[in-house]
Amino acid sequence: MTSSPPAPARTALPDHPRGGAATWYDVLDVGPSAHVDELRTAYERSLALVEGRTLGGYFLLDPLAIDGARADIEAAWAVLSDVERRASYDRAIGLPASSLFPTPAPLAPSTASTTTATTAPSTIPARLPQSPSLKFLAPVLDDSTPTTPPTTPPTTPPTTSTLPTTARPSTLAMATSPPAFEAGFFALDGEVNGQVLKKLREARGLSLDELAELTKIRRPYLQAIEDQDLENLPARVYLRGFLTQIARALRVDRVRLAEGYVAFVARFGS
Amino acid sequence: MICQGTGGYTCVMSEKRAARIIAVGGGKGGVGKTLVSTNLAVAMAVRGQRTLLVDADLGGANAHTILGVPPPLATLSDLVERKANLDDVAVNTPFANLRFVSGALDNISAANPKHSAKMRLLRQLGRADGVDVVVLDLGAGTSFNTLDFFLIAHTSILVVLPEPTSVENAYRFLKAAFFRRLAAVEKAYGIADILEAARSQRNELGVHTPADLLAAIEKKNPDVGRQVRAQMSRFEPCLLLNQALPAAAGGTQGEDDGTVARDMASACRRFLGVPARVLGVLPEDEAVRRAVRARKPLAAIAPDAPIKRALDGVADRLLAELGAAEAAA
Repeated sequence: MTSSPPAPARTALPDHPRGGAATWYDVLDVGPSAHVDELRTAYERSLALVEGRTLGGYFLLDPLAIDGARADIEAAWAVLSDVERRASYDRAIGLPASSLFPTPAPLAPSTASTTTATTAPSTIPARLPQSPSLKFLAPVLDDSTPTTPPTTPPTTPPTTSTLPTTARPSTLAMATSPPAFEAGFFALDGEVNGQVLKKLREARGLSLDELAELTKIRRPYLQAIEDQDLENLPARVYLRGFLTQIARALRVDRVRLAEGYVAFVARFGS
Repeated sequence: MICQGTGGYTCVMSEKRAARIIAVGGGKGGVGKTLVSTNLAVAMAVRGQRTLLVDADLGGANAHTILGVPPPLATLSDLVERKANLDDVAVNTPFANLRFVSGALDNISAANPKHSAKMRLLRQLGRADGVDVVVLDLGAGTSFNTLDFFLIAHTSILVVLPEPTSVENAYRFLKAAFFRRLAAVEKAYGIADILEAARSQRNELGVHTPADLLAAIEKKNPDVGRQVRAQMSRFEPCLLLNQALPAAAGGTQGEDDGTVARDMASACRRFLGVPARVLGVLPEDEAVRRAVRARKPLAAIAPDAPIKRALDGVADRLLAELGAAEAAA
């Protein structure tokens, strides 16, 4: 992973972005359930944007402002690519983590506003696939599932709900090993259509509004995707990205969901 | 009745239902502002909205040509100078529901009306009898005229091309509009000193973006900062990308040109502190050239052209939004 952004030094980081974004997730323009791969892409895209290397960022900022924006992006990457920092940041900003991840250990109120790595509790809940309400769905725990072949063994067994502090995973380890929750992807066999997506969402106990919040995709688009409403589907260039976001939020296989639905729409539309 | 523009300007309306004002601007010339505003106005009229297209490109008016009507004898300047009333200057067009006010100007001084005259003009347009939608075609550049018209609209559309020059000018335009908007409230909030410090060459506050400025105000006085921030969050410009190519046809850096619009809106939100959004993407289409040469709107020349359909989609979305805003009011 030589092309990875540098693993951030464990130094004090600002509590919040200085630019226009409200959260570190907003700085990178990703949803709160963003996977580390997605974070890395977003980090690189964001830097290219503020440095004017992509057309959409041409003369966005004057040279002095670029440094400030770059600092925000670097800090966002440093916080979100680190499991512990991210978990404590999520709690600090009051993310509704309980809808996707196990309820974190309660924090002392005094740490809620100024969260740094040093205020993190001694055990951090790992991001696990199953919230208690989803037990009726049989998770695919078979590592041989062809679409999610782990390149290295997971650093933690999928059933462990806490990480010992001594086994603090580095950024690099996060990047190279499949995240623990990936093992819990559900198999998506057969046609991937709007009803399937709707059932999956309902099985996760998410409303359309909650899914919109998690994916940062506007509700009318989500509705159109579930309704298979060709007229109002997002443009094809965005559709795949949206589906990937949805797959992440629903914790199903991204490739199968996105490709399956795109193929379905292609058949449906012709 | 109180109406609130995107820019947060408040104007007191008469009891009559106020028309919704849509402004179409863009920092750069030749990006398709007149094309968009004219054809959008036609689309609104076709959808049963009693529409008034106003060529507010004071000094460079040519919407009459795109629309295919002779330049009216009475113009916007007569309205500004109170030589005529709206019904004198609004001419009928070949399209049902669509009337047109020309900005064609002979009089240099009228091309630079006073702020109060502009505000009066817009109030007049907003409460005109039998007008549901006003579409303002703005000129290029970042003159106060253009910025003020852009800011007072309920929906402010910025037309952008996937070209560095246009992107650069669009950002310049957005920043200028933001500061113009802020200048309008500086007295009310007592933030003139901060704005002055930010404008000075030395810039000791380190203000480089609208977001920096809001942060500086908030740092000095959190209460005022919150209020100003709330005011400015209403400045929600809409980006409309024109002449977009798909990736396969040489779009930007191997991606669909639509990415440019999405990147820009995202960058505005994240790094400028301006909540911009993407209104639509209009494809590059040779039908535009045919329509302009024929001096007719797209609807008359190429009703099935891709760009015409994309503009129809924009009109539908705008009407849905305006309807929702009205229902909420």
